[in-house]
Amino acid sequence: MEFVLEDWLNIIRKDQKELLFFSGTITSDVVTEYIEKIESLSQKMTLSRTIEKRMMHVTIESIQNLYHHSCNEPSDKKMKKFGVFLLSIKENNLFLTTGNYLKQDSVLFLKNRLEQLNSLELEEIKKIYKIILNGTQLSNKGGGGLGMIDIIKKTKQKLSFHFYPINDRYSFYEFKVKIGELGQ
Amino acid sequence: MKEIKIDGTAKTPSVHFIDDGQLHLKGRSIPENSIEFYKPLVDWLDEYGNGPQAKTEVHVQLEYFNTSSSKCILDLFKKLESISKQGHDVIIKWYYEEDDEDMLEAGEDYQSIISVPFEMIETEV
Repeated sequence: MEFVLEDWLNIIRKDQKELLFFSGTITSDVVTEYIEKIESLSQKMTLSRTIEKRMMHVTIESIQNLYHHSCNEPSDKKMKKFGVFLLSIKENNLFLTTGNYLKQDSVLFLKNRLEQLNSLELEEIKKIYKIILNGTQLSNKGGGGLGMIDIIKKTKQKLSFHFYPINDRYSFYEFKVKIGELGQ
Repeated sequence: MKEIKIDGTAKTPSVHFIDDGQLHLKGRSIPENSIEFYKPLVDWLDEYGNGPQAKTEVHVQLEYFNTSSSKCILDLFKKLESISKQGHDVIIKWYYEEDDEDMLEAGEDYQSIISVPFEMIETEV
């Protein structure tokens, strides 16, 4: 079935309490603006300090991932560095969902990596985190592959992801993680 | 040696490195380009390592940091490790807010990688 961005947005936004939503070009200014919004949001919500900091951490890490890795929108609109993120509550759980276009040649690598990380126990994730922290050179795009591992380490959750083929050059990448339970 | 004094921003920590051996890093560290921010600090420690104080105390009090900063913070600690290996006294004081188990664990991760004494200090919110 053909991927239609508007339909996907309707699906991810359905039946949730929306706390924060963005769809468009991810610039450094957008990152800064939304960091401030998350902070102000976290002050209004009554969250445990652990969940509050985890929400800040996972959301910032994911938005910065979009900033570093998003492609231009491949449709006629050609919006630059296009990304979507949604922070929401469903059934008393706090979720972060992101979406971005990805070149096909990155899909297999990313899919394999995510599947591999999801197959590991938390203790193994913690070991790998330290090995990569201590071993890999920092890429100019970020943490040398630490971001996803750190999200699993902090949330103690498996990652949920899906790739929607767009054409022979691009796919759309959906990423979702449960940050934690409210009232925890 | 010239001191480094940088005010904190929404994305970067405040820094105060003085060659009397008292080094402070405080706030949040979530810049998009961490290398740009941390390179002068790593360079400063490199130079400081040529004639360090008998005792160097490093106070790290971070609210949160992104993964690209985590690598740069390790680079700072590796410089401190080489000062320590030269026989100088170095201690890293790692502050974390009470109930912030993630920040405590982050400090313990560094402690297991770096051969420098760490002191974990819980602070009240």
